[in-house]
Amino acid sequence: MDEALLDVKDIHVFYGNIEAVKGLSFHVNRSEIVCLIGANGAGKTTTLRTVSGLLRPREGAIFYEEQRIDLLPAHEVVTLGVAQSPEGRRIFPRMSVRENLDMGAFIRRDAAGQREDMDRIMELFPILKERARQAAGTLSGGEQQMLAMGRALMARPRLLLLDEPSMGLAPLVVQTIFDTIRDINEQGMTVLLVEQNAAQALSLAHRGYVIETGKIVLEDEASALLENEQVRKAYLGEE
Amino acid sequence: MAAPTAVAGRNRADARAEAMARLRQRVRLPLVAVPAGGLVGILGSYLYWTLSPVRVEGVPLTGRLADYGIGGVRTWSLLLALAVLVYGALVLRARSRNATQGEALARLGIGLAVLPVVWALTLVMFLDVEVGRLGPGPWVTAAGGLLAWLGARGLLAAEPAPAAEPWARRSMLVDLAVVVVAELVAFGVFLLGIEIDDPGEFLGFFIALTAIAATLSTIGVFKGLAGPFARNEGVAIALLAVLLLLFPFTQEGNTFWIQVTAQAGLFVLAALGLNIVVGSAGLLDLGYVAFFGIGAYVAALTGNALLTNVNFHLPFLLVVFIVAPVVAAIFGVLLGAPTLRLRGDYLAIVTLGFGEIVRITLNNLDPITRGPNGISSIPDPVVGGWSMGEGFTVAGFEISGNSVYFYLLLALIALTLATIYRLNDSRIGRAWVAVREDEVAAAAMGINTTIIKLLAFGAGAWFAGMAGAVNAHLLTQVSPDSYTFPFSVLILAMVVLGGLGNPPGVVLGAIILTFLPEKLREFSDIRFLVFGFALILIMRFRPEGLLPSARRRRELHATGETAAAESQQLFDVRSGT
Ligand SMILES: Nc1ncnc2c1ncn2[C@@H]1O[C@H](COP(=O)(O)OP(=O)(O)O)[C@@H](O)[C@H]1O
Ligand SMILES: [Mg+2]
Repeated sequence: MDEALLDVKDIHVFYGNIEAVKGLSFHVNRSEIVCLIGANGAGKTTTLRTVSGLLRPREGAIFYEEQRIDLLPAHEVVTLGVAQSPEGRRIFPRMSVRENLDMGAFIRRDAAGQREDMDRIMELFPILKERARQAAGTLSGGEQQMLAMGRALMARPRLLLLDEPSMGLAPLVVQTIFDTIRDINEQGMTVLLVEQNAAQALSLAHRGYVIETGKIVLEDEASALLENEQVRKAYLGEE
Repeated sequence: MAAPTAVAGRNRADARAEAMARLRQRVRLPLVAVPAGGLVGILGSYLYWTLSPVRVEGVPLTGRLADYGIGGVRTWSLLLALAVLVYGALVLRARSRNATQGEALARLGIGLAVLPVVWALTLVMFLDVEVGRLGPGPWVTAAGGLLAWLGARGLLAAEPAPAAEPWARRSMLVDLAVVVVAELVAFGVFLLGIEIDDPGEFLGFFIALTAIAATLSTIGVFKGLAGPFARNEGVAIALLAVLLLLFPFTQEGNTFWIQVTAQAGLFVLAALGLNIVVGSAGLLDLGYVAFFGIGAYVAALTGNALLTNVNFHLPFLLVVFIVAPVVAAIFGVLLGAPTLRLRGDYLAIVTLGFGEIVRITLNNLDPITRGPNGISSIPDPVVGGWSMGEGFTVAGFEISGNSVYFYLLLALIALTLATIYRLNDSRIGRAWVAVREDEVAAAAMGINTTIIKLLAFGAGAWFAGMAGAVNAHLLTQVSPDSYTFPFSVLILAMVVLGGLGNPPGVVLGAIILTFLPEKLREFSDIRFLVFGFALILIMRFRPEGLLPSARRRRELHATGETAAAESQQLFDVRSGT
């Protein structure tokens, strides 16, 4: 099946009068990892927030499973199966780790299924099991990222949005996080990944888009982008 | 010949030094200061506190204030001094000592030092007593307290103590005994506080109580009590209910304090409601009094008042349980709606405006509200032909009308607490907490933040409306100037002082802030000064409130990381300001 799970069509997003995203289109197929790479301020987070319903595009449309979602409020987009680990993680710092995970399942009412997923996620991130009763704000950055991802997974989404999961983390921790993303994807999860860390994101993703000042400037297979002259210069820090 | 003597002398000197060192090791000098301070405090308590009797409006302030001996305020300084002496001596004798004991002793010491000073200041500043008429007693006592405090601080460097834990279960009987004794003591202290008429003595009582409570809290008694109480919740609640039901009988026909307690009940209801908005959902509301006023006017308009323009009568129970809360809740939602995109300071200012709008509307809606005159001569509620004001007789016991109000409020509070606990455990309650912690993340979890915030405003207003309805009957009149901004601030102060987000704390805060001004009536013009001062002290030394919620404590003793996660709100995300 090659039909797109998420189809973003020519969206324009404004903050007041400032146009942060200027006619951006991309799509994510089922079971893919797609990454959006771009420098700081390129509009990646704005794009993700628009997909998840936190922002509304002034023009353009977003389709998820053939349904138009750009007019829906954020909480309804979640119920359709789109969950996110937002920029800066935004875990609930004073709730315990377990309470955070429970919040992730807020839209669900199947107690048994939730318990199952909780076990699965604690298996995926054993550190969360160890820290289950600890206040989430006391976790390290890497642990908080794992919690944010676990929390998103608790919604049992079909599309997982990740905004810079590697931000501010030590290389070793980043590796663990990216390995986990690959695992989750291999179990069938579709992932839309936003990253500044282009090298690692591209080696993980199937396809990639390069965003500059609110526009897509390049799109290709991730492996091709890794080879691309322009990308190597601008994002992989090579001469 | 000379040499051996010198040697012997040196030996003796050595031995003495050794003995001193051993002594110093066994008795740390600062520690001796603590019981010594206690002794000085006891001495001070027995000395003259004033050189001639002090009268307030013709009534002697404290019976035997000018005598040697004990009585009045000195009872309480003596109690504190004894506590310092006994506990200080125990710590002195103990083999190992820790910082917690030092802190506990320091609190007792500072209490002993502060008590006579505050008492003296009050006499001089508010009762126009000349400094020259004060005896040596207060100063000696304060010196004792200071000595004890300084000594106790020497211990603060000692090894840290393990954190307090709830007491483990020994046996069913011990658990039950602990619960019963704790509740009886608390009830006894409450009755005692009511009993003390003399404002000077009450001040002493209050400071001693605060110091002892702070000490018990430091050594972990309250944390420990949580164990037996959690294991015997049913018994604890039942006993508390019995004690409260018996309360009117302890007043021997004197209804004044029953009425004050009923008033406290109204504040408890209102504060519990505000706690939903501010404590649970984190929305700072400075116009909360509006909903209290709306509830009161609903009851006044439908309550058969004599002086009213509207003659539309509804049964009291219907009004209290449904009409007033529903009307207030509707206004809560209406007034909440425009504030949804505001946060923090902006939200506070807009809600403050709403409080004023409601008051001014009531003031100007003459055809209905009779404007500034208000509605008066509201009769006691009538239920099934029986007027509550008449009271009733049970097994030969007369229950006065005031007691009926008291019982009515007890029932309403019980119901409210049950509702609030259920709410907090529900999806709505969890959503409130999530919105409070991080609105964007909450929305990303699938929480409809708009509805959730409106629900908080509505639920908060609901209980204010309920309280307001009873208030209208209790005071027999309503007028716009009863529902002004300071009233909102007072309720907010109750919530914050008691423990934002924790219902038992909020109840405690409301009770304390209702009784304190009543007890300090002689200084009523400076009531708000006292409040302000008390609040500053609380916020400085116990920012989480007297009985904080666990989560709130986490928040205020946050690590750097938690503080850094201070939430950026949805509004920012959407509009780019
Ligand atoms: N809340 C906001 N208000 C106004 N401008 C914003 C806001 N958030 C982002 N921007 C602007 O929009 C542009 C895109 O930002 P963003 O999507 O955060 O980029 P990225 O995630 O790629 O670093 C930037 O120029 C940024 O300054
Ligand atoms: Mg970003």
